[in-house]
Amino acid sequence: MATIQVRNRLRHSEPVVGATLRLTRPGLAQPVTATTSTNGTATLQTTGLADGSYALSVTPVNTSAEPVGPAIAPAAATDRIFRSLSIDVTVTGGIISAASVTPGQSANGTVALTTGQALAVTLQPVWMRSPNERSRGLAITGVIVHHTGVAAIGPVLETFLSDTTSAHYVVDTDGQIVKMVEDSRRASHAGVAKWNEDANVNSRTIGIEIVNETGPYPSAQMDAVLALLTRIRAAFPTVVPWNVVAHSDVGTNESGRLGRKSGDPGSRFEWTRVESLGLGMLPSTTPIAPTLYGSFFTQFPNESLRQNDSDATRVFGGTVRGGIAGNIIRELQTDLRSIGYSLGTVDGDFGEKTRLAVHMLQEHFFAGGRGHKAPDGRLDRQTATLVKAVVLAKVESQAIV
Amino acid sequence: MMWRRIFLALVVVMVAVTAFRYLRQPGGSSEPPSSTVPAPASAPSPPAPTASAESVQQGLSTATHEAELVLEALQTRNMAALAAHVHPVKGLRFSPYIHVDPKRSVVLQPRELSTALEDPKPRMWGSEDGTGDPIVRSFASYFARFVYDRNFLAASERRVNQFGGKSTSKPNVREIYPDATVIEAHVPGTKPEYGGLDWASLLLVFERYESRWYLVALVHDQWTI
Repeated sequence: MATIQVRNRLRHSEPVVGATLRLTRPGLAQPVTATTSTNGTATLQTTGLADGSYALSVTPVNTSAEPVGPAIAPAAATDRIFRSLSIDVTVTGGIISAASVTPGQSANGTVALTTGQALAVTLQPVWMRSPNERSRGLAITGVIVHHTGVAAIGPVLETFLSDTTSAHYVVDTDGQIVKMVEDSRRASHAGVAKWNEDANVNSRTIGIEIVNETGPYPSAQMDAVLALLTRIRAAFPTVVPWNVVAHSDVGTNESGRLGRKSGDPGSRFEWTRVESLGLGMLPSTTPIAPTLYGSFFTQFPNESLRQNDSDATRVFGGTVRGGIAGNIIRELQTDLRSIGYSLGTVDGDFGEKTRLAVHMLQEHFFAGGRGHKAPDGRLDRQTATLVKAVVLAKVESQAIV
Repeated sequence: MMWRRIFLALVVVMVAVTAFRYLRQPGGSSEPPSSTVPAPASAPSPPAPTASAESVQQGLSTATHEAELVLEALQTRNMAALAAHVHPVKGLRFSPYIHVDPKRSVVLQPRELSTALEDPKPRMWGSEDGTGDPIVRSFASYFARFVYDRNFLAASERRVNQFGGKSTSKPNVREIYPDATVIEAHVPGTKPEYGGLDWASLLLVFERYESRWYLVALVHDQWTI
């Protein structure tokens, strides 16, 4: 006899109930089967089996081999979907004497032979329903990328299962993805936010939480994020490439001021790789004329437009400069708004909201090895060129009519 | 005279122990930045047996000691006692999360605080993390969820002017209160399944006014999405 315990790989306290265990080998007249009980255990009758190698399959009630994404579409009553797992076992003297995950199956779960010759099996979840969701009421037009700020996925899943927050997808450090809210439903991830002057960010977007405390994103994890974005884009043509942005790009306070989520997902997220998919805020490759913003940067190439600059007072770069033509702060504010940033009224005054919009744009574009300088909310020549390049790209793609 | 000196020495030792408890926290800074915050008049080390009544009084009015009294008032839900520590001009600002909205957050004056727990009037305190839903609660309900949702008086960790960085929300207390002394009472997570993510902190923000530290903000901190 062999006792098998089957649990959720990412939530060890959770038994996998009703999973079918099937032990076979070529020439065995009848497979040995069992079903896990309410505590996730089952007993396989291995007594009397001939010594040798066997294949043990573990198949949960709800299983899917699909890549995690929109294709994982659970029925209303389905709270969990797991991968199925194949295990190679050795039977000696009627007990299981050795067990290992079948090659190529390691993403689907784990197995360990415990004392007393019991098997501890875990299955990789691909769907764990969060109760923290509601009706969208609006079409999906974007994706918000977050990081968790903590290193382990378990506590995040636990929080999304119980608290008030949630995301549609959680991407683990090894590239495994767990879906927690159906794409058609609204998850609670963005909080108070604004993008394109629209405060319905939760209703319009899919939320992706990436398990990352700090530091670089492992390549397997980044690859998984890119693959997920590709699947989302394919499933939802209404997703506008420009609207694949960071939580830092959209998170505001109640007053509409950006900065609440500064650093999320942080300076190590590789936006260039997202852009390689044609998603995200894509700068145009068309050269930008150096005469941008009233030729401020051709006249003062080492200066920056900054907070308290104003079209009305003609203070640019912290100094009254009568030689600058036009309302260049209004022009900057119009550009930032057309990209999508929340900065309130276009009033020609480089105030706090404008500074924060510039800061968030710098966080986004100077992340992931595309570094220029630490974000400071000042519009230097490179940042200004970047702003114009993104606006131009939107015009070129006819996103701005 | 002898008894008076012994009494004063005992009081000074008490203040020193209180201050030392804060200053020796692991990873905690010992003092607020001297460029922005006047050094608290406490931290008398070693206690001077001949300290004057004035210096003892000065020591008792440090921000760290005020924090202890504020936490006691919160623990006992004694709003009248709390009101006595609130800035008489600025009042007391409440923030449910560590990113404070200086324009929309609720500020109560000392006289309003005294009866706040009995006031059933719902107020808009901010927005829920994740959902973005407005936090509309009575004072008592808000107090239970976003002020004193842990026993912060017994918090195992206290830090001075060192806070934030434990969630993905950007702290901005220092932007709003550049000269403040901020005492953080931190309660680590307890439920194993949350792996520490169920921690909570209460930030007590003090500003100096007429030679005394007054409470100007109570900022709740927790993990946010």
